[in-house]
Amino acid sequence: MSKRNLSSPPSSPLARAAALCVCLALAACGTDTSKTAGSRAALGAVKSVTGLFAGGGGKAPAKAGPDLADLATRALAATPGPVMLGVVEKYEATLVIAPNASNGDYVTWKTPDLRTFSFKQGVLTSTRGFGDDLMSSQADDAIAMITQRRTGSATRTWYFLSGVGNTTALKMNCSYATGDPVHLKIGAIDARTTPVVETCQRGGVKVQNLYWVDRAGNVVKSRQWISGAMGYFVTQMLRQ
Amino acid sequence: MFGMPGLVEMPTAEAAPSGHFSFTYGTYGPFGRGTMAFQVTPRLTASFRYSSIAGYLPADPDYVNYDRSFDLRFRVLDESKYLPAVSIGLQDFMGTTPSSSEYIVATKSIGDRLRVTGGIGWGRLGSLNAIGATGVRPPRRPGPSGYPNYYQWFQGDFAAFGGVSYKVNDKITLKAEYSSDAYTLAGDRGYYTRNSPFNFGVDYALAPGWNLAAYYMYGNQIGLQFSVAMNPNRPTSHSGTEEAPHFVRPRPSRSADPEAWGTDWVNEPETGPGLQAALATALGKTGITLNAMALTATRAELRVTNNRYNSEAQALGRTFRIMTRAFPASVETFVVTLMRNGTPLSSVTMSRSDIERLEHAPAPEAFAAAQITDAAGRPDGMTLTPGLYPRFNWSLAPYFSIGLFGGEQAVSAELGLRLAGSYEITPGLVLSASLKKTILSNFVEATSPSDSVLPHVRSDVGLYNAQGDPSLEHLTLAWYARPARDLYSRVTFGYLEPMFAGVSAEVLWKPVDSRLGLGAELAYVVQRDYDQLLGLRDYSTVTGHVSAYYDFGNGFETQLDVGRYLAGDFGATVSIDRTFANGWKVGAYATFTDVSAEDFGEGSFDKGVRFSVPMEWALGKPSRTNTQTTIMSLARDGGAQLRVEGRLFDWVNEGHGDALAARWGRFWR
Repeated sequence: MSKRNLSSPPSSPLARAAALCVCLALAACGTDTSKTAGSRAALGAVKSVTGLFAGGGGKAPAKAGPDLADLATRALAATPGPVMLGVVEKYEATLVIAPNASNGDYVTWKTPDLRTFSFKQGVLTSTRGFGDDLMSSQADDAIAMITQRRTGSATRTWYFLSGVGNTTALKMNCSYATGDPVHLKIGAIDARTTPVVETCQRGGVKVQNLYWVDRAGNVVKSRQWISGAMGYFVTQMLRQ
Repeated sequence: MFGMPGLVEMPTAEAAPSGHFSFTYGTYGPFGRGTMAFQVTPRLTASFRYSSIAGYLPADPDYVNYDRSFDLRFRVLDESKYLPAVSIGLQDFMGTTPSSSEYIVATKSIGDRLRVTGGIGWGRLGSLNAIGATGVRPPRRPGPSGYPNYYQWFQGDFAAFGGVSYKVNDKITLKAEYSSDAYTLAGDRGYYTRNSPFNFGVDYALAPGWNLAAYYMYGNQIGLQFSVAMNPNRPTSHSGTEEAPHFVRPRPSRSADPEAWGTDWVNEPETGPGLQAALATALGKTGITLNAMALTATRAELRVTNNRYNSEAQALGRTFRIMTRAFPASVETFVVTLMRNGTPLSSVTMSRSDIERLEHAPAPEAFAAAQITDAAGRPDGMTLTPGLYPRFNWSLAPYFSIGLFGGEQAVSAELGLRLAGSYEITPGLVLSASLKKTILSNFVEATSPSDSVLPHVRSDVGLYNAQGDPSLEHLTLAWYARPARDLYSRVTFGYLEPMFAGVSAEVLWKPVDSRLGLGAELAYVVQRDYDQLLGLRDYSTVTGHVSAYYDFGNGFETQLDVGRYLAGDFGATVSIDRTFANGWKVGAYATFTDVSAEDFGEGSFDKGVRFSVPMEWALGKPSRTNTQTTIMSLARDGGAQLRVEGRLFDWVNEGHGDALAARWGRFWR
């Protein structure tokens, strides 16, 4: 086999076809999205498979740590109402999140890229738009323990989708403990809070959530579990 | 080396997790083996293998022998604290070469890392150092191939085999075995002689589901094996990276805002059209087409087509949510009718109060609150979305198709460009065409007609591949309709498929909540020219079937077609598929017609396995597309069916009760 001149453009039929394929996948065109979506998505899949072998596991690259105080100032300036900072630990990116909808006691907060988090009285009950979302929760007893800063135990249920898309429930027994009061001052928040530790366990699954709750029962800061694959979500309220 | 759970060449009693689906390719010496294996139930493993042997004919060194075979393994006993797992298996039980074998095998774990296996085998697995015999193994009966060799099973000499596997860590597993396969045929024919009964191997996990193995075989060969495994129960990607849905907008209470609950808006003529236009825009952004709307002071019905989501329930949930954001408070009853091909499939009715109340509850609660009913007919006041018809859609996109284990290639593939367009004149009346141009292909090509003694309805595929570039895949006018409650109809006219043109009519009876469907299809077709443009050949025929479809409700579905096939032969096709709620399907089919095994040619009758993988499962992005692959016997003329697009059951059933129930988990997604 002769040595290939590396500077020459790809000339084998395979290379030409591959180049054309990539161009078209980027530019598959038409009004029938059901036919063009496939090739676009397939390109994404090729990237994720190469990522798999590169050892990255498809994980989003860690973003450089932003200056939190600066981010808080800008977030507060951008909206007159409630706003929080959130970090999905797995992605290590800080999100600015504002409330988008409410239904009864549930408030849904939305990120600029259209992912959402729903809370009931500050306790995370569902997420949307991520892979492996938390679909819904039954957590009323737990919410009472947390917002009233009590010690004791309660059961709480998380609902997920299985691999085939069925609703599955994870019911865990949880214990609640409180810590010494902590003063939190960030953004428009200036509150004396009680840390509440929620420890839940079932079989091999163990979850530990943390809530900093003010005297009115508001969760000002928290670290809450989303799902096995998504891990934990950290929130910091900037304005209630 | 056989693509089933096992040691190097010897089987074990292990089974993969239910639903496990794997592709394996292994090679050593003159042998190559590609295997597709599927864990049908927790106990039953089935596999299909495509094998090649170089040097099979001593006189012709370039000749490579290709062979297809099927294996089955059933786990009789699960492993317990003191007892091993025990399985019983058949290898190559329908094949054409004398390499079939049967075995009983036991495997026991000792600790977490070590597994010990021992078994006895008959046939090929009883060919070395037999320790006993159960009668005399009768010779392979002469006659057509492709039928089970049941008269040989567990007959004749049996021998012992065994081995150990040791898991060093999550990546590396070491294996050693004693093989009871003497390679008698290989030795007699002279293409392979073994030196030792011992095999050793190391298996390395490259990534979850991807394995590479290296073996030292029979004292003189190095073997390599690569495998990829998937499980429908475990998506390769995260299952829901997409835009979050719009959220429910609850109404103010009647006492707090009585004005919002008024019904005067019904009398304003602009309200309905204004709402319809706004809804069409909002639904369009989430991949849903609003076909029509009917509105009164208390009830709203939307007819929608889901273009984006693998789960119709997900499209339903998104539509209901958007409805809460649009309609005045007095509208309490929401009906969403799912459409496909301009045809209503089912109506899902929910009270708006339930939608508001259940938004943050688990999806099964919303299912309990929903009513699913037939959607035939058009209710009073239904208004088509203005400007929607006639609709023109087109696409230009690359395509990639794979043929597995057909002809003399284990894998054949084609890459090309496809230009497709559809023009929907009114709901249900669609003119559509698809044109393709090959860029790269190793599909089999031929320069002369096949030697089949039947009319060449499929066997000239090589000529079609060779001459049809570019080709008109189809050019049809199709009319889909609902003649009555529970009934669906289709008439398709034109260039129906790459090899046939004509007219095909079909009717289907399928109640929305029924597990049983009954259908009938009749077609008059003329064979198309090899160049797949507009010309026709002089072969024409009438073909048609009556069909029954039944969903067993436990993940298995079956279909029976009885009728006249393309070559004029009469017979029946029976198929069974395992289906998963996320759209995965793995199944097998067989066709028996009055064509004799001799006239049919190799394989004796048409049979195959097929699988369908939803793109959403593979890519983690919403998509309605499935990739479908069928592995069939060679392209033969007996038992061949017309492949017309838009066959009713495939898309009608997707919008019915059981399919909705199966994918309801994504309702609030």
